[in-house]
Parts: sequence; structure tokens; C-alpha cells
Amino acid sequence: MKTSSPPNKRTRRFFGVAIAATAALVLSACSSGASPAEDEAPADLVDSGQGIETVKVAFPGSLANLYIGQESGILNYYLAANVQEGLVSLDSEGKFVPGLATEWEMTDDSTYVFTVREDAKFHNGDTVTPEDIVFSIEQAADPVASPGTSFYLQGMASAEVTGDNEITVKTENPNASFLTNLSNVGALVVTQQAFWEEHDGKVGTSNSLLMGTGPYAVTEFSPDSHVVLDRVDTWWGEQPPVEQIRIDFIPDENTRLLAAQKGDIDIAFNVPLKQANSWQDISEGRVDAVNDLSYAGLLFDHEVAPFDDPNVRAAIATATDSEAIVEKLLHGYGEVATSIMTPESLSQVYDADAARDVLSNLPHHSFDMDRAKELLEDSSAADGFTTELTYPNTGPQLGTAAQSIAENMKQLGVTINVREVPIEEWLATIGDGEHGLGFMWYFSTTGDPAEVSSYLLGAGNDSHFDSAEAQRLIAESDAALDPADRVNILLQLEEENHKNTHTSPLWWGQSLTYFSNEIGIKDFSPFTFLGAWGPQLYAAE
Amino acid sequence: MTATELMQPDEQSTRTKSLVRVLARTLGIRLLGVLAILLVISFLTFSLVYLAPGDIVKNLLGNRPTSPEAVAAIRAQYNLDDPFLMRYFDWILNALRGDFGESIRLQQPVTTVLSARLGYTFALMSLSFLVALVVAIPMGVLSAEREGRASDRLASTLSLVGLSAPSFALAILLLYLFAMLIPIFPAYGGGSGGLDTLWHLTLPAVALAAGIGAILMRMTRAAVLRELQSDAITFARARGLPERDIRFIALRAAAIPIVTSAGLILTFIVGGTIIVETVFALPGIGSLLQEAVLFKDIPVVQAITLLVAALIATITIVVDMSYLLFDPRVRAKELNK
Amino acid sequence: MTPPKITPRTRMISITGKTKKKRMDLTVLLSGVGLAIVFIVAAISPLLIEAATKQSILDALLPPGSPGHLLGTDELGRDVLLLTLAGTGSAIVGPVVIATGSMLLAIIFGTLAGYLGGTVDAIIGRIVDVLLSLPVMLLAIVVAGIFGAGYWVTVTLLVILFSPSDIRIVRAGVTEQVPRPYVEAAQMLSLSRARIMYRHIVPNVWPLIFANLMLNLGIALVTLSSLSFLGIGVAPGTPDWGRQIADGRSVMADNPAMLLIPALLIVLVTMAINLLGDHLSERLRERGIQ
Repeated sequence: MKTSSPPNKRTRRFFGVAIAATAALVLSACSSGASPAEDEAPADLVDSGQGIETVKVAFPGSLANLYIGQESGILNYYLAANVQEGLVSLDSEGKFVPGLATEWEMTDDSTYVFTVREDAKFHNGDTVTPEDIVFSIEQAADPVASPGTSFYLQGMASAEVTGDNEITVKTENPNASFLTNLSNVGALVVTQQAFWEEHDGKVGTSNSLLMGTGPYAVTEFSPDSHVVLDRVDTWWGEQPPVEQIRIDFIPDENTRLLAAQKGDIDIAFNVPLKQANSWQDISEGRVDAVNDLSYAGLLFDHEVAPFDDPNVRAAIATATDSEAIVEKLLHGYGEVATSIMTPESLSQVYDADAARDVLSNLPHHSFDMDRAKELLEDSSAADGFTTELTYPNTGPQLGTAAQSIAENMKQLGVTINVREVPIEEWLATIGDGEHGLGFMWYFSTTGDPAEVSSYLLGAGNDSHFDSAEAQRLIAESDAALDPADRVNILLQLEEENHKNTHTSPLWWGQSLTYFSNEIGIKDFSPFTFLGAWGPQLYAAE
Repeated sequence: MTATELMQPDEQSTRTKSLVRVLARTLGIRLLGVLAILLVISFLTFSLVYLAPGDIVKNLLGNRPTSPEAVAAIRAQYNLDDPFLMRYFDWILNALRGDFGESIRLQQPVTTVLSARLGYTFALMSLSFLVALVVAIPMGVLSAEREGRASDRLASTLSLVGLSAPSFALAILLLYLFAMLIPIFPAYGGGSGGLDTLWHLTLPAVALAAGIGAILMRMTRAAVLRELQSDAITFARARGLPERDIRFIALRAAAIPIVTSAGLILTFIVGGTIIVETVFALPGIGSLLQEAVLFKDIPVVQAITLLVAALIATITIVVDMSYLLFDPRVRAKELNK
Repeated sequence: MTPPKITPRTRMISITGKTKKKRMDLTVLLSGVGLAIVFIVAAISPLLIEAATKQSILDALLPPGSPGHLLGTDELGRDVLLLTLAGTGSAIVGPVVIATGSMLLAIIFGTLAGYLGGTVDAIIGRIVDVLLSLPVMLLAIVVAGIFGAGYWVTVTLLVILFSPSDIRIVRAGVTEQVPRPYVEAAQMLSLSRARIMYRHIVPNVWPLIFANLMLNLGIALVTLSSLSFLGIGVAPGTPDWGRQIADGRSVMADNPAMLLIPALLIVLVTMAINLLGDHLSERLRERGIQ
């Protein structure tokens, strides 16, 4: 990071930080047993009010395309959040706030009317027209132009310009989660029609880059290397202190650590859990853990024997020591999942503690080897069986969890061969009709409570089962426009899942982010990186 | 006095002309061979990537719910429902016209993608080759001339370590030593061009050069040693030629095996780049290839494999042709065909 | 100014070479003893796998020198010393198979090409050319993907990929032998071609073959561990040095032994192989002279 402060001042600040960090070490030594997330006493960071020339960010993997309709990984969303906007955005608590629409209302169950911001401009200085927004919605809904996002806009009936600064979007059926889809965390990132046509729809490549309305513009993109974001003066919001954000793609976790230890990195996304100690030991920085809206669970293919037998599925779920996995293998960075929904996804209805209470009261398979033994003896596979469990190379914690599950199942006479595969190959094993046992690892971007459960339990799921009851509940929840009613229905869906062990939740994940102590971030929450996070950064002292 | 020197001028020019003709003929045959090889390789890699696990649709859409329309659109766009052979012929017909298609992963023409990466890999390869040549050959020659002495033992030990240390272990060690403990070199990335890139490529190049340099040093040492102990040298010494001339004779005779092994190690470098590029996060051909294979990005995999194969084939031809330049015996044999 | 005629290289039966005083070097002795121990451990390593893969999550990531765990434990609580010992098997067995396998292929095809020449030589030559132009890493990644990243698949692949350069070497050696009087003599006796090739010529190129075998053994060890470092060839959880280094890098701060010990072992074992190879091929060559 380069600050624009005079050198002698920097030196002084450095010493201040060093002392604070030493204090933090002493503190953490005394407080063994505290959850690791609290270990690092946050150095008291104060906004110096100064500008920052460049913030250097490390991503753990490369992006191939910057347009989320084309490539829709979680890192793509993090990047796009600084560059492009939807009609609405999410704030740090996961609540809707204005994006390109200053206000919106539902005129009936399935009609949304948006008032478009008048001072919104694209990075080239052109004013955002309602036509541009409608064009962007249409592209996002088009399976050819945007294979990554079109699914979410399937239920859309129409999107039209209905006034000077007004857009009306209609859905085919009442859909409680629809507004999410018109935000940048769902399916909509607004771009300029002229720009799209100039590049023949091939946006987000290293030649065409992106055209957006956010606080930063992409000025350089080199796949497998880096992407550079420069501050613009066209954004409607307040001018952020950081002039440039340079994001380097450093897939090798040790190289990334080394670069941070050298002071080459100001922010590192998704620090590997097993490296948490090493990152925390960096004296010029800190590691912050937040729940990242991710879900990890076991996936069973109901068409592959013996996983067609609910007792077999329940036996595996019961033989899984989630507590030990979270405590030991995730180093405490995560929570034992008692449901598919994450506590954060209930934020429209419950606060964090209440949500955890509600979810922990749901029936779930708690670890019990004796019970698992009984369940297996009662099943079609009482004599044991052999199966394969693959996990992606990008999720080593899934691998260690897999080995721990395999170790437990061995005692029951079940052999699980654990195999690491590249993420691409792992994706192909999900629902391939050959792998009876697998992982589901899902990073929710929207924080919508039904996002994951409707994917896992609804029609056309990867477990290849059709549950009329589950589909009924999902349809009912979609139609329930009152958030509290909706959550109640979704809780029933969780019970339905538990009864049949369609799928078995393991944990809700946390992500670790490394920050240099020269950089502060306002309102750090699970939703921070899903919104425009560049303006949230400040020069700390 | 050699036979050539005894020849009359016009006799010599006839021989030069026929040498050129022979060279051209040999080259022509070899180039045809290379084309055939490239064809075979293109089919081989195409089928391997085709058979490889993974699904382009899943790779493009990721782990999230998808609509059947999106899946159908992608299948249509990349002709995934066409029979295997048809897809191969489509590819090869376009390739013959110079159109190598578009990268599925990066949504850009393959030529654009490749040209953005070639620079780094080429710089890395040349730099490590250069380092290996500059260090290994003089070391090998010196070692041979001082066989058994302390400097020879030291050089041989060094080459032994270089030969025995895997490049990934060396890369990790160099990173910790020269990027971390004594932070004089950058830890990752390809730099911003020019001297900065050279700076960024130094550690990777050294990591890559160690192993190949060791092989080259040993080969050089063995070749020079063999020549120094040959009858020709004994004879030359017996005739009382000055040591400088003897050295020249020995080196010239040793040049053939040295050039051969230098060519061979160039092909090692090509393979070694993947590991080094991974450890140092370099945006070169190696990392591109690895990503492309995993993604089943056939156009990119095809283009890179063919490029590499063509490169290796060219090196082999150049090496073989160098026999003609360096070795009078081979030259005579070729001419008498 | 070159001498009128350069004699064909006759190193192997030449008597002009300076005879060096060969003494049993201490390093060679150490290499031999060390390698013998490593081979013995490799032979019994299957017996250790059960104990080595015993997990105890509660004892995860103990530093070296912990009671009961001399080299500490990995992130699954497995004993690093036992893991390293058990990993000797996959580190040694594969390279031995690769080196001998590719050499066998080379002896068969290299001799055929070198002795028969003509069409056989041309066909083998072209196949060798194709194999030599393949990027090894690419093939390893793709093939390991198709066949499920198995150890023996990778080993078989490396046997095939190692063979072309061996074939070239053997072919060159055999070509050099063909004009020799003893071959002519054997032909005059109308011995079968197979007999001439494999009973008469091959023993004469044996020093060449042997030197290359040892060199290959070292390279195979390094290559195989590089592949498992990249995650190719061994399943996670299997004790393996390359894999251990890859896993150990990220827990370097907690247990450095996990990375350092196998890395050091790879380097030392390869050095021992190369040293011994140099020494033995020297000896063989000397015996060839007498």
C-alpha cells in the first residue's frame, strides 16, 4: 500500500502498530480457549482521513471473465460489487438499500416499480437511462448472453420503461425472493447498451473490460495475473479515499502468505483456515473472521444404491462428528450446521442470536456412533459397502472433513475412498448419477433463506429425488410475501429434510480476511464484500 | 591438413553446393515428418481432453441452480452434442485456415490469449536456459580439464545437488531465502514489463535452471573428458601441438554431445515451467495450460500442445542439423548418400 | 589443422584413457548404506501404513519434539515420523519401476532400431519423435484425470514417457557396436538376429544402459514427487513425500518438520542414487576395459 502521508509519519505509525500487535499477542496468550476469531485483539484503528494511492488485494484464484452473467463465482461477485450496481443493494446487515433505484414499491403481488436515480452516470460520463437498465435486465435473463444469471430471472414476466425515470418489472407468480435478483448480489449488474453492442455482448474480457456505474472502473484485466480498479468521479456516492485497488490473483496459498509477510499485500481474501496462525502472526496486519453465508453439507444421490435407503443416509449423518470437525479441522472458524439455511439468511426476521436459537431447535442428527451402527444394521447395506467421496482442491477443509468421516465409517464396515479433484472435476461429479456420496459447498451471494434449500430439495435437484412435500413447501414459501411466514414455511422444509435425510448439513462457514493495519474497513460483516467495499476502506493510524 | 584443405577450389564449391542440397532435402523430409507428428498429436490431445472428466457446462455455470435453457444454449454454442469426430474435424478445418477458435474459459480468441502469455514463458525459458548455459558449460569444461582436483569435486558436488533437488523444493527454498529472509526479490507475479519483469523472473529462472544446468554440466564434463582421453588428443599431444590447440580440438569434438544435450534440456524446461509458474504465480503458458486442461478448454489446450510440440520438434531438427555443421564424419556420411 | 582422421569413439574398449586410481570413497560407502536402509524401509513400508494413517484430531499439528511424536503431527493428528517412513514406499517403488521399465522398453526397441535399421528404425524413430514432443506434465494431468489419479497409472505413464530418450540412447550405443568385428563374426556364424542383438550386442552397451538406469532412477524420483506435489498420482491421505511437502507448506509455522524432512529425504536419496550410479558405472566401464 502506498499512502500519501510523509515518510516520517509512516515510521511513527509503524511503531505504534508494532506495539499494539505485541499487546495483542500477549492478550491472546492469556486468553487460550477463547474462540480464535477473538484471539486477535483488533488494533484500535482510527480513520486518519487521508487518501490512499493504491490498495493491493490478493484473490486466491483467478477470474476468467468479469461479467457475473458469464462467470458467477463468489470472487466475481466481490469484484463486480465495486464496479457495477443493480437496482437495489444490500447493506451490512443484509437489508435492501437503494442502488440505481432510489425507491421502489410493490403495486401488487407481482409488480415492482422502481424510480431510477437521476444522478447516476456510467464510467464514461454518460447518464444512465431507464432503457439501459431494462436492456441490462433483459441480457441478464437471456440464457445465451448470461448463462450464469438467467436462472434467477426465469420467473420474470416483463421489464419495461414506464416513465421518465421509472421501470416496472413484473413476475409471473408472486415471488418473495425476487427483489434480491434485481440487485448486484443476485442477477443484475447494470451496463450501458451502447457498450454491450459495441463489444457484441462479449463483455468482461481483458479487451472489453466492464462498463458500470459503481465507484471504481476496471482499467486493466489480465486473467491469471491481475485486475486494476481505478476510482471514478462519476459515482453518485461520496468520493472514496482509495484511488486505486489492484487485485492480484495468487492461487498458491503459500506464495500469498509470503507476499503478505513481505508487506506486499494489504488485503487478502479467503485466507486458508489451516494457515490462520501464520497469517495472524504477521505483525503488520490482522485477520478478521466473518460468517460468509456459505454452507457445507453431505449430498446423497438417491438413485445410487445404497444411498436410496434413508437409513444409510441417516447412518452416515449420525457418524459424522460435526463438532469435532468444526472445532479441530476448521479451527473453530465455522459453526455446526443444524439446517441448510444459515443464521444470517434469517436476518429479515430474526437477529443473529434469535436465528441461532430457532435453528438449533430444529431436529438434526447429532454425533452418535452407536446409533449410527444401529441405523446401518437396519438398512439394506448392513454388511457395509465401499464408495468414493471427492472434494475440490480449493476446499482442503472438505478434504480433512472427508477423511474424518471416512475414519468413523470404517468402524462401521463402510469404506469411503477420499479423493481430491480439481474444482472443475468436482463440479462435474455433483449429480452425475455415479457418485452416491458427495459434498455440497455453496457460497450464497444473496443471503436469501430459500436460496440453498430450494436448490438442494426442489425440483430437478442434484440428489435426484422428487419430494412432493418439499416442492409444495418451496412453492408456498415463494408465494409468502411476509418474511416471517416465509421463514416458518422454510423451517418446515428443514424438518422435512431431516425426516428423510435427503441431504445432511455439516457446517456454516466463515471466511478469514487479512488486512494490513494501515487499512481499516467500516462495518465489516458477512455482507460487506457483496456491496461496494472499496469506499468502505480507509487509511488507518 | 585436412582433406578439404587439399581440395581444388571448384571441387570445394561443388561440395558446398551438394551440402546445401543435402541439407535442404533432409530439412524437407524432417519438416514433413513434423507436420505428420503435429497431426497425430492434435488428434491425441483432442481425444484425451474430450475423454477427461469434467463438464464444460458445469464449468461455465458453476455450482448453482441452472435453467435448462442456459444449459441448452451452452451445449449449442460449443457444439457439445456433435459426435466426437465431427468436432475434431471442425477444429482441424478451422485450424488449417489459421483459426484456432475461441477460449471457452476466457471468451477470447485463442491467439489473443496466447500472445498475452507467451512473453512471460518465453522470457522465463530463455532466462533459465541462458543461466544454465552460462554456468554449466564453462563449469563442465573446467571440471573436465581439472579432473579429480578440488575445483572438479566442488563443481561435481554442486551439479549433484542441482540434479537431485526437485525444482519445486528449490523454488520454495529460494522463495524463503531471497524473498523472505533476505528480501531482495519479489515473491510472486510477472512484474510490469522490461527490467521489472526480469527482476520478477530471476528466482523462477534460477529454480528452473538448477536441474537442467546440472544435467548440462555433467554431460559437458563427460564429453570433454572423453575427448581429452581420446586417441586423437593423445596423437595431437604426441605431435607436440600447443595445449591451446589441443583444447580447441577437444572442445570442437565435444560440441556435438553438448549441443544434443542442450537441445534435450530445452524440452525439460518446457515441462518444468508448469511447476515453477505455479509456485511463483506467473501468468505464463504453463499456468494457462493447467487451467485450460482442468476447464476442458479444448481450443486453448490444442493450441498450446501444438505450439509446444512444434517447438520441441524444431529444437530436435536444429540439434540434428548441427551435427552436420560440427561433425565432419556425419557430414561425409550425409554427402555420400 | 585437425588431425587427418578422427577415430570413431571407442571409449569403452579404449586403452588410451588415463587410468584413475579408484578408491572406495566415503561418500559412496555412505550412499550405499543409506540407500540400502531406504530400500529396506520401502520394502516394509506397507506394514507401517495402518499405523501411519491413524488419525487423532485432538493431537493435530503438534510441533516436532512433542512426547510420543518425535517429528510432531500433521493437521489430522497423524505422526509425521511414521508418515514419512510409510511414504518411503511410494517414493522408491515407483521410480524403480519407471527406471527399469523404460530401460527394458529401450533395450527391446532401441536394439531393434539400431541393429536392424531401415524401416524398423524409421518406424521406431517416428514413434519416439511423437513421444518426445509431448509435454509430460500436460499428459500426466490429463491422463491422471481420466483414469482417476492412480499411482500405478502415473507410474505406467512415466515408463512410457521416459522410454523415448532411453531408446535413442540405446539405439545410438547399438549403432556404434554394429560395425565391430565381433558382430560381423557372429553374423558369419549365422546366429539368429535375436541372439546377436540380445546376447552379443546388449552386453556391450550394458555400461551405457546401467549409467542411464541410475540417472533415470534419480530423475523418476524427482518427477514422481513433483507430480504428487501438484496433487497428481497419489490420493489424499496416502503417505507420500511429495504430497507431504505440498500439505506441509501451509502449516510450515506449526510443524516445519512436515515439509523439511521429506524434502531433505528426496534430495538426499536422489543424491545417493546419483553418486552410486556414477561410481558403479565407472567401475563397470573399467571392467569393460580389462
